[in-house]
Amino acid sequence: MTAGQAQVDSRVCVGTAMCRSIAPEAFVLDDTGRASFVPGAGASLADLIEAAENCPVQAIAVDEGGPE
Amino acid sequence: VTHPDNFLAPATWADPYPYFARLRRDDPVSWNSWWKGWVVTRYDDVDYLLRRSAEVSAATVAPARARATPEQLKLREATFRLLGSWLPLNDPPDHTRLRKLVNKAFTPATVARLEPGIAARAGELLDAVDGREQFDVVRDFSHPLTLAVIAEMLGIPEADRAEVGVWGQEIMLLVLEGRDSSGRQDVAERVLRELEQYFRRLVNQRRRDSREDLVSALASAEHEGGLLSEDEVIATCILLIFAGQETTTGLIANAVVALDAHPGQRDLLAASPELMPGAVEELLRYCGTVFAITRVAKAPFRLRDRQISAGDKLLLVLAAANRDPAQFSDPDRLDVTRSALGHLAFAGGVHYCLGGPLARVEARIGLSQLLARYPRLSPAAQEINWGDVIITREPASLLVDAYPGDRRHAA
Repeated sequence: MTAGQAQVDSRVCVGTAMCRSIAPEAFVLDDTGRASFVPGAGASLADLIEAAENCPVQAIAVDEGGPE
Repeated sequence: VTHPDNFLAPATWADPYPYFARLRRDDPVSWNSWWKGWVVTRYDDVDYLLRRSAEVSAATVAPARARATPEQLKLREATFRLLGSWLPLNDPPDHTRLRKLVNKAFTPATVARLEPGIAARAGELLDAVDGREQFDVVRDFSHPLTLAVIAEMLGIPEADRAEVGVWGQEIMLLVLEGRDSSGRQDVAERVLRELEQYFRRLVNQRRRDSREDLVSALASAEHEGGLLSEDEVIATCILLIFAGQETTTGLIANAVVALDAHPGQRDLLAASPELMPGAVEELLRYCGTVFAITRVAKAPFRLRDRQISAGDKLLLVLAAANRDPAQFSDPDRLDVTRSALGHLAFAGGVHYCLGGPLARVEARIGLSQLLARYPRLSPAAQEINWGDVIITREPASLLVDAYPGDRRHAA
């Protein structure tokens, strides 16, 4: 699967770090433990979707790429 | 004579909020000479410490084990061994490895698929008390509801559920740090061994005959994936049957009490069921079951003007943080229309409650059905017994009048 894009809503993120445990290259945690997405790090779309599905507060949106 | 720092003393615990409000204002990182640790009450400090697994550890079993005498170690063998493998009592990387294995079963999307079953079960339980003047919100409704849901998820056969449910409740006393009583610890140790034997049999069964349930998933992660040990499988099963019923049972009961004290809010919610998802967040903030959680300092650090030493215990008072006026305006007022976003009822950081999404769904469905049938539901007694453990504050039973003041329903 090709690399995708994702966004973390920092107001919703509670810092469980599940995303980082699933796709360590795609997510970094700031010093308050909140996650953000690293663009261009080359995480597979499958990993990003897995990370989003594992977020207990649904803070991660994945752009799966449209048909256009 | 009660120790002045003993906030579990009945007079304080009946309404602990003024006590913790004073600490939050005057002594936000307070040495408690009864509990022998630091009590942290401000939102900013609690929120900060929840996210610092580098400085503070959740692994509180190891220090207790280190302090224990050889005789205690022998008597409490199962307690130390099994609780030492519990998710909430572990730090990364063990915590991460264990959580990844069960996390997917509790995500909002997975839990949403359970909603019809939860709603049906809640309806059956309320049908069973239909027509009664009084019933017990905990014993007749919230406890059997949450027990059925978690038992179903784990794959515990229907016939075993009542017994496993009772065992699960009996270890509460041990896990949640109550008043010291060796008798209670003896019961908990014995019950833990019963649970261990029970789940060891079930795990072995599921290894041979795998089903679509959590025990099977954990058994295969151990057996085929080598991702966890058999003790960790057993410990995780015990954790789930315990935590899966305990906290949401209390949330529904606490909500009934809080709404009774705020009849305007109760009426608003009964008339506008669409407010329920936001109301559940506000109820979590206002009267969530988990009152406080414990941590141990890994290394010395400063918090405000206090010097914390390595090995010091810290009590993070989630309930006090959730009523910090610096974070929530007019915090002692229940307002089901406010945004309670950011409340710490499920803690935060890597230990953010695994079952949070399930708790939200169970509370939303449970309270909606209760209010739809009994819009004026009210506790029957003035005095409520809030228990005597530090970690959770909830009544073990809550008798309610189904139709208070309405004589037409009198038998």
